[in-house]
Amino acid sequence: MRREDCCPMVGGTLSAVARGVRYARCRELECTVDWDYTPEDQQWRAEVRKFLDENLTEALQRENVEIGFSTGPETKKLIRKLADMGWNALTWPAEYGGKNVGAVKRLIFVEEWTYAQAPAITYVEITNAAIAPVIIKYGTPENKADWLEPVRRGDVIFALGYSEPQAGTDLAGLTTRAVLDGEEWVINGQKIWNSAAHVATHEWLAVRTGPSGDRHGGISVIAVPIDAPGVEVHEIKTWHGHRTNQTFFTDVRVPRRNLIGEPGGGWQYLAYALDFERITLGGSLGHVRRMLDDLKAHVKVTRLDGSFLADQAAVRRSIAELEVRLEAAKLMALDVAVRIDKGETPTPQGTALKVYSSELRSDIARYGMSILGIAGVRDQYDELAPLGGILEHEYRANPVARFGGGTNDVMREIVAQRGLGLPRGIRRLKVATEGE
Amino acid sequence: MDLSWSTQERELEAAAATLLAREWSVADARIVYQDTSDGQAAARRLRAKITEAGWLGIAFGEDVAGAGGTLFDLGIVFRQFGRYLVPTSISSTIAAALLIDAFASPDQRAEYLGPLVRGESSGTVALTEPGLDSAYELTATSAKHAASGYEISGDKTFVPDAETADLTVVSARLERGALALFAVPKREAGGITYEPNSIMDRAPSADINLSGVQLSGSCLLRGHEDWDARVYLQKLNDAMDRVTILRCLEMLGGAERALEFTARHVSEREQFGRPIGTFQAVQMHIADMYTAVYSARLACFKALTKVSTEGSASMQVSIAKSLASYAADLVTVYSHELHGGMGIVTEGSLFLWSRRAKALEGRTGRAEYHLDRVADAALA
Repeated sequence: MRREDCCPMVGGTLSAVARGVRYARCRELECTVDWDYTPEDQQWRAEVRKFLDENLTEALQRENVEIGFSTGPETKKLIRKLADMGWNALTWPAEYGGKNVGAVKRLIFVEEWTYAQAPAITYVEITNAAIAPVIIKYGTPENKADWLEPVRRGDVIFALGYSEPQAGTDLAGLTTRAVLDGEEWVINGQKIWNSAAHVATHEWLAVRTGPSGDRHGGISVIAVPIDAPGVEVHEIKTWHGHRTNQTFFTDVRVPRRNLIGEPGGGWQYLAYALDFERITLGGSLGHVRRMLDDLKAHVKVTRLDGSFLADQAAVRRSIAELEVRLEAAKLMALDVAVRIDKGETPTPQGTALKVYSSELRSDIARYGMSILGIAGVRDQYDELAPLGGILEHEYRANPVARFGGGTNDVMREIVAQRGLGLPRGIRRLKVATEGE
Repeated sequence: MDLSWSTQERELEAAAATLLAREWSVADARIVYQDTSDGQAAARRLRAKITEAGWLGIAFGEDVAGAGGTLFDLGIVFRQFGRYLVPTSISSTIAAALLIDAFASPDQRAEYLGPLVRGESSGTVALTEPGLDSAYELTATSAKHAASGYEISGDKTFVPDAETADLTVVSARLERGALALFAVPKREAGGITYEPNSIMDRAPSADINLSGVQLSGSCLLRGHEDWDARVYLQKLNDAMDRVTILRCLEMLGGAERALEFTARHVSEREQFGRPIGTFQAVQMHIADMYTAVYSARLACFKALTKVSTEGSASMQVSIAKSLASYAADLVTVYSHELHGGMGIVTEGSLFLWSRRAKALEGRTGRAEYHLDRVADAALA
């Protein structure tokens, strides 16, 4: 083909093409979509794996099995090590001591971390990768000076103080109030599902500072030390062994400068943080891959009712369906990360991913336990539990994935409205997403 | 990693959409569905336009006047075929061309592939048999040496556009047991009888019986002389994966179009004094459709890329097929629910996409076959 034959296809000549100019292709213009991780990405993955191999000691894992997410000596050592390597500030700009890595690399990091079943990731990740970006984007110079370095050092871990007994999914109904008294905010109210409160150093507290009539505009975020007088943390036990908390605030006084960004800007900050949180939750596919890999390894060596599970047609079908759906989730996660790195805010895609991957997790537990039969209901504390009880535990833990970071029911409305322009519902849908 | 398209790819998509929007209305698609003789005339007119645009030759070499482009580009066009319900005769011809491209000698390329690429003749593929869907190694149709060259006998099923195709690629087993493909020109071949199927999208399709069909020796598509039986089968599976992924793109395009007009419908249709799209249950259906289509789109383009650049990607094709079938089925079923009565009347048009979606699901291999391939790889 002559070079000039190609020209109608190149650059800004759509009208000529549309008029019916023949399809023509230069040989050197091969398809340009690249689905593979770059060598640099792969090297990063290897680096994260190596770190995990070297640092996930038995002592650390035991500490976390025994007391859940802990501030025990082993966990503290790990967090300190992360800080030394700059991995507490992976996504931050270099000027704040960050590594300035993009969303794709962060996805790899979370994937590997969750695949290795390493502890501590959720709270630390949310502080480092969901809250810190809010401070960087919206914080006052004082906020940045007060919080970023301690977070980066691993000395500050936030608990998310959002939900209240009467304000869950409808977060804008929150009533915890902060009133300015001279140079201090005085806080009264209560929070629930305050998961890290017993181990974190601070609350990332959503409070009402404006008039109660202004549902969204009257909300602010204040950083509150959990050891401040007037803060009381009460344990709530859950059926999957996870500890969460109800936290009470009675005349708690914090310095004025602890308010993040502008008074009344809180709703926007929560939305921004939640977008990151959803992507973290949806992108935690390492854990999903781990469950499926362990299940595959198990069915290959386990005989039941006369044959290896892996040779049974129904088992093969279940495994194949899960494999297909995991690939779908991985592709969505990658697409979302690539879009973020390009400067987009892929709210419908990221939200779809969160729904999809959380439901895939429950199906892996469901299909897997069904394949294992009665042995599958040994719980994680039974030392003969197949796959170390990972599927059984997931079955109990999974509801949190489905409602955490925004319940899947409301997430689906966001997908329909943002993704395909459906009209808003009867209530004004202002479940925290950016760009409202 | 870069998941974005080049300017050229975007322009190709826009050009394809523009041409089809102009040349192939829903009314045209409806004629094909309603009346086969008028439908075939309309389809021939469209084929002339598509030939003129050079799309038949996108993925084929310049030796046969093709454009020397990529399968990726052809996939972009197939997605538009799905959006606009382009008649099956086009994709049947391209399927035949892809098989010939993989197995023909230079002389055979000139004789068989050239006319298909230039739009001078039409083609189709006849591989399925009674009791055989995708496991081509089980082919029962036989090819014996004869005075003319070869004599072929056997039954083939669900051959799209069988009666109008000028050239049919037929699989058969040689006397020593090896599988082979034959280019069977209609003009030469006596001994073929047709039993039309009535299939869901009402596209022309037939079972064919070959009874001692005499072919010249040059009809045998031998492939490379070094290929043994195992390699030959592998090459056939790879070539059919190319056909399958294109039809997956077609399925995807149809699902995307149906989802778009269903989203519009629920945003406009009012009940209880407000658009039905404000109801949460409706939004949840729409969200699941969005996610199914989104994941299918990514998987289809990934598989298309892999097949286009690496030649063989059976696992990726099977994953794409699984997700595309799931999306197409989910979208059309929910769309019918959300359209209510207007979704089922033939005065509307939704059913045209639903019929095509199911036909394409059938023509891309059973879900069970593809899941089996995934399981083979996953549990290896």
